[in-house]
Amino acid sequence: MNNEHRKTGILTEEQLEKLTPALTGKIAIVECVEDIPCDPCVTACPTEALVMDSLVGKPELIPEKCEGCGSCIAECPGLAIFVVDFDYSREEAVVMLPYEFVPLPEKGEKVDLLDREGEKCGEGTILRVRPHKNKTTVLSVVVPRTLAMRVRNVRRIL
Amino acid sequence: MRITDHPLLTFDRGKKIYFTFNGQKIEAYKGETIAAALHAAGIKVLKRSITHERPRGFFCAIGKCASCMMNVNGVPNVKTCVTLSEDGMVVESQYGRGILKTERNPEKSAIKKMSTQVAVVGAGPAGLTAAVTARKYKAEVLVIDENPHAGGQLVKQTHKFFGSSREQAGTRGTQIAKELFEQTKDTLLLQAAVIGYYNNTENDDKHLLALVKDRALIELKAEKVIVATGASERMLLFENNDLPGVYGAGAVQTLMNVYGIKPGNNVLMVGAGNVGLIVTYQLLQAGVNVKAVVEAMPHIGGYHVHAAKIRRCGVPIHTSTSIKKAVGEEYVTGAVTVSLDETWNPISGTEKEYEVDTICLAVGLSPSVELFHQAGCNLAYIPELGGVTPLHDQHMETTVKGMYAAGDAAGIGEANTAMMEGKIAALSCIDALGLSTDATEKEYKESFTELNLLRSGTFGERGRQGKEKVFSLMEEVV
Repeated sequence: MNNEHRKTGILTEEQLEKLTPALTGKIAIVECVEDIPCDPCVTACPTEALVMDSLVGKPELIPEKCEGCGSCIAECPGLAIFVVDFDYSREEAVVMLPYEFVPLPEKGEKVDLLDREGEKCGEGTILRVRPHKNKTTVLSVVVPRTLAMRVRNVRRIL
Repeated sequence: MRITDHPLLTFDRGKKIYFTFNGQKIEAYKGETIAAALHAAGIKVLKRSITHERPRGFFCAIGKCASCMMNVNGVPNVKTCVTLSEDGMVVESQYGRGILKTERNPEKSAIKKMSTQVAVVGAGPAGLTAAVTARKYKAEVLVIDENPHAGGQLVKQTHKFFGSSREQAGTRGTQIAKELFEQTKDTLLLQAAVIGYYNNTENDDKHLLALVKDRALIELKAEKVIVATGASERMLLFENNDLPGVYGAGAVQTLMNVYGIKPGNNVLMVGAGNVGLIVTYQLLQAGVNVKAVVEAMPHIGGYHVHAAKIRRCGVPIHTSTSIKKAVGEEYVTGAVTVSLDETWNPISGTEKEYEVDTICLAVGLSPSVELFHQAGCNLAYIPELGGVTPLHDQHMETTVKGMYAAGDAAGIGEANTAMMEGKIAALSCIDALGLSTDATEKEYKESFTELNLLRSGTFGERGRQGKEKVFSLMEEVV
């Protein structure tokens, strides 16, 4: 078993490849690789695209059933699910991510794009701010297509 | 240092009040403890150590350690982390052991007597769940807790819980605490401390506990006792570890999530288990900078998803690294870390200094077993469960008949398993009290299944092994 992520807190390229069947369409990227006793994503999914054998196990995504609605993003206690629309435009993709900081960015705002290490990798634009009753906001951010699998956080430009 | 904007919490501060600290006027809000209000005013040094007069601040913030004891209205050794501030109070730093004034006799009031079917000691996740369950099946319950607020550590857990969506998964700890409080509020006796387990001379098979509430003694008789006293945070050995500014992770959570007060501006987190990772994220949410997380083990102990959350905010995690010393005279102004080799020895030349005002220790917990010990329960050292643990069977009954353990006090676990143990302990009481029905039997069975599920998998392995040891030792004793 590859344990590199347990040293760094960052998933390896190999692990990420397994989570992403094809870099097209609009689909959930479930960055959950450990056996945590947890299942809210399964009940959150309206299309039954997320399945688990038992409470302890990893959720499995059935790509053809996932519509990329993002219902699972705010429900995941680990904030480990993202939705990527790889085909938003010719040059751009949209990353939907969970966000729990204040103040919230606004629609149309330019933000710094951060990778899994919190390093700035570019700039993007907030497309949508979707609040949730559990206070995990889902942000949709337009990013350069090449960064679709790198951007996992945003920072307001002050 | 008071937090005004928070993504998850709103702080409904009470009326403004004032007290004095060594003659200086301090602003506080009704409902804030003395230590919290002092911290908000930038005062970290609360007392001096007895022998060397070293500065002392608080460490646990939940009344478990003695680091915050001060003179309050002339009374020495008052734990200011669990004592609410009052208008006009006179608070003074304490030097030495404190002087007991003898010119006046204490009030000679008669000892109040109380009785209940089920006494629950500790109003945390295990205790409150036990109370909810016992009440549901018509038992009379009294929950005793030393703290001014019910909920134990749940009130500080702003993250969404893992676990099964059949139970509370996806709900934030703070919300679970609220719900449990609503269901148990008329069973609660807060700011009351159980000070001892006594021999009952009346031969009626009841347990006798002594409580102190409002400085008066109460004698409580109970048919069954559930002890859910939680845990205390572990200290770590390093130079200057006693400086104010070295805080337990729970204390940091109490300050920022209960009272809305920042513990500092720049933090070094020690420990990358789930607690260290979660508290780091909570610090970021409170607008506090976390310079780094260091972890002595060669790998991150907590869940990857928690680590990923802070990594994408730019917080580095250094494994095989430990804290070497805290820097500062009166309080923390910095920290030095050092890398460790494969045999856990510091590698000289790898020291790194951080400018921080807070060192947060998240290096594990030990069960609070004093009451079990005093009542005569058999205890055993179980490293998998955090240290000395009361022996108990699957039904959570200890070697003292009618006395049950639940939650961290029965071996360190997490909140979901604590709640499940609280439920099982209460159902065992219901059974022993002869109040069982088909519904209780069913819930009993389901609870065992759920608890086993929560403890299955890689991350549950250690706890599972620890509990197996406890059960088999218990069988040997019985």
